[in-house]
Amino acid sequence: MTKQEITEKFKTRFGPDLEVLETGQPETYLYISESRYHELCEFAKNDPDLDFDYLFNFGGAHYPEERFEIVLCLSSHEKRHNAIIKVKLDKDNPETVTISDVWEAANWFEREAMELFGIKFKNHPDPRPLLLVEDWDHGYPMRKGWTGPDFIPMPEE
Amino acid sequence: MESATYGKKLREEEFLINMGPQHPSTHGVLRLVLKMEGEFIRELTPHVGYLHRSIEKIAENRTYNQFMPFTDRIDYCASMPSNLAFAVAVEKLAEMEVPERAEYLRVIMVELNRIASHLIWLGTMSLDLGAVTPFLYAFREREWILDLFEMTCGQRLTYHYIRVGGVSRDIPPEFEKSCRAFIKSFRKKVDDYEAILTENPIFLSRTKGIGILPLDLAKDLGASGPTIRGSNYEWDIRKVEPYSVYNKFDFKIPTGKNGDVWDRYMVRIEEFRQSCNIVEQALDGLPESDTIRAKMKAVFRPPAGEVFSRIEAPRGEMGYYIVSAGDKKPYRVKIRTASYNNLQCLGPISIGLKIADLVAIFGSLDVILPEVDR
Amino acid sequence: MLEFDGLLLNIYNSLSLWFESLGVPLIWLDLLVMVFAGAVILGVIAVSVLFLVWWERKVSAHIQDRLGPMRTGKHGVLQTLADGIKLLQKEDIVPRVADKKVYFWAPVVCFVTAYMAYIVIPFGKGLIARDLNIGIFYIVAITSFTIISLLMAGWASNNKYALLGGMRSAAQIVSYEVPLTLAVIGAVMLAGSLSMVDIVKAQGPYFWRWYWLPQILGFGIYFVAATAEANRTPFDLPEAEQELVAGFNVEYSGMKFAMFFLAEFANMFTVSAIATTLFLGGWQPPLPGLSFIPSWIWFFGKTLFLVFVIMWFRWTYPRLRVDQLMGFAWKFLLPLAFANLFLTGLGVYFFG
Repeated sequence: MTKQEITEKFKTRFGPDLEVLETGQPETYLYISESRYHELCEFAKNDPDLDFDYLFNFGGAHYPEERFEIVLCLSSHEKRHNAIIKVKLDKDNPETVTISDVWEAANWFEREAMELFGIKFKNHPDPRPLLLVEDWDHGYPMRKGWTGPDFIPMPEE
Repeated sequence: MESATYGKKLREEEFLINMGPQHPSTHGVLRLVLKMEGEFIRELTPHVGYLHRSIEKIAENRTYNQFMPFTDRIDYCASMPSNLAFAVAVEKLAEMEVPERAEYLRVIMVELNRIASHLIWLGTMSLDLGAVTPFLYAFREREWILDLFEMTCGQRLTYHYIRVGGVSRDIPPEFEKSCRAFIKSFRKKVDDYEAILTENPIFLSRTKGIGILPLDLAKDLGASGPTIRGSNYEWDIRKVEPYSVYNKFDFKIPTGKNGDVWDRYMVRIEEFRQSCNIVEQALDGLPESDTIRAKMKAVFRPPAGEVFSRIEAPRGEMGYYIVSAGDKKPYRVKIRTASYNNLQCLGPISIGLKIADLVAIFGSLDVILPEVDR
Repeated sequence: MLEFDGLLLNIYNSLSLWFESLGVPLIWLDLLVMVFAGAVILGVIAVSVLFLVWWERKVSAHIQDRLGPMRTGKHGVLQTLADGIKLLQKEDIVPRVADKKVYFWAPVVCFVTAYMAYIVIPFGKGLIARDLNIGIFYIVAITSFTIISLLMAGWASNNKYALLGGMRSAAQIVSYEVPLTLAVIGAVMLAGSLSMVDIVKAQGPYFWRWYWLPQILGFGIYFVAATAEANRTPFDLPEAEQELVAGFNVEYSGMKFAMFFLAEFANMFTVSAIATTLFLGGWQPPLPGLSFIPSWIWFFGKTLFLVFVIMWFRWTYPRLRVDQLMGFAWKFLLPLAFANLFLTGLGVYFFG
């Protein structure tokens, strides 16, 4: 499916909760409201035309003034098209539901976002930390403006 | 005769084995906590992060060109593809045209590096199965590739050769001859590997039907590269979404049948031959030109925006998601590496097998830990 | 080169005359000879193991397209000696939670059993420490003791990898002991004796009359089972490095480790020596015309050839899995060994 078709497909289903991002990129970029995020994931995976069976990439992003974001890069094995789904989360208390029941691959991605950004994923089956040392208590290192014991800022030239 | 324990049930218990982070066959610093019942694995919990260097955080504090050497360290067995993945992403973001000669050089280097990386896999996997000799054979051939790289960019492990907008320097004149000689001899060497492993009945009995990864599980876990191709699915970014100049070359995507260790082994063996084909075609078609790098400003600032890109690295797909705020430093870089997802396949397919099978499966997944932890 | 056979007998006879003239009972002479023989055998083990370790490194190196040790002496011949000295100086670490007594005795038992097997091996014509009339029986009994030492090591280390290794070795050696013994019996039936010297003598100096030909099946079974007994690849599961790190000897260091190492190579030599004795005519030359070459050279030549074959296996084959290993012993080797025994019985009955 082309970029327009994918966008249309999502728009007809999610209408007002969807915000399409105009970029020069060949992939579809869209924002979905947090309340219908899980529903969209299920739709994207199970709809026979979209058939996004491949969660390619998943990560958080921090915009300290406005919001947290999670970004899903979806891909389809059979249809060979891609889409990037983004969700805006609250800047003080980022919280959403897990999608590891939709794509198993989200399990580790969410664990990583959980400990590096402090984004909470409700109903996550295995919410242990993944990458950091076991007794890490210096906050969430991927947040902007984070400084920890070993953080040396890059000198400005 | 009545003995003291007659009629009493002997006490059985499962025990935990801590395999790694220092263990000969966890290929680095993976820690697996195994719940064992005798020799059988009942539960497997991978613990990663021993090599976490927070490369994504570093990326936010370096300019694009400064970050390039760090990509070498993401997968140090295959630095060239790691370089390429970032370069392709940034070029897509900045809509940059790369000189054609540079693209051909990139393909040659990346495919040579794919061979080198698969050679490490071949050596370590056969070592895991107890066959020591193929390990040294593999490293003998890898040495030649490293010499070729050293000739080109002066480095033997972390090349920093592919840059944003092109490559760092042209190949020396003697490169082509040596490279062709290598490809010619290497084709015979692949037959040698097959003679020592593929036809060996012990190797067959250790790999056939072991660690079957069903296709739907592979898709669900986001497995890529030889891991999903072994499960009989033709999925290769070089064909699906051709980047660089891969659409100009004629090569096949090998696939397995059942998704067992044997199939993943055969896929990679066949990829040796396909990579040889690509390198030869690229050497034949290498355009003569002096420009090997696109013109760039002294301080490179790509436009604000987001980009998603991926390439086919030796272990699977390596992808970048970059957010640029129009600054000289990226705002956010999310690196997707193949091993991260491939490693998640290890648990579900090893349950109920023996510890010796676990080692074989882990070898066949070709997971490299710096890629998982980043 | 000379034969030791007559020389040793002459020395013994003149010594006994001397003892008689001094009025000392001959039992003292026998004791002296025993101590002397023991010392000589220890020397033989030490030298042969030193040589074998170096040789294995060289064989593996040349199979793998490299040179191996080159610096210590010519082509690294003194490398093993240097390694031995290094191991002697190493700290002897005993895990805090180990069963100290068992931990201490395991390598000793391992080495002593390897050592004791050498007593009945005929290294040449008349070069045998004790020609027991149950020689081969004795060897089979003694080599089984290795299991106990490996189990002791595995248990006493109080390490899970070591325990798994010990358990594996117990299962493996007990299983392979059965086809091994049955294969040996074939040769014993043909010779009609359990004495090692008699078995050698019964084969005669013609290579086509050696028992490898009538016992081709038995020879094969013995050799495979013996490789497993000596814990060599493809049957080196007890110490499978890539699975169990080092198996039963994972906690051992310094000289205790060296004793396991020594015993492994001594065992490899023993099983090859037994194969030579039972199936390849022992110290006999392949043709009577070749008897100008001393008997012990023939013996060592044949044995070292077999050792080389075992090494060749190791550097070529992957390792079996534990259940495949057991299945191979019980489902394949054992029926084959029984068939061999039956055929040998028929042969002895009709042609013997």
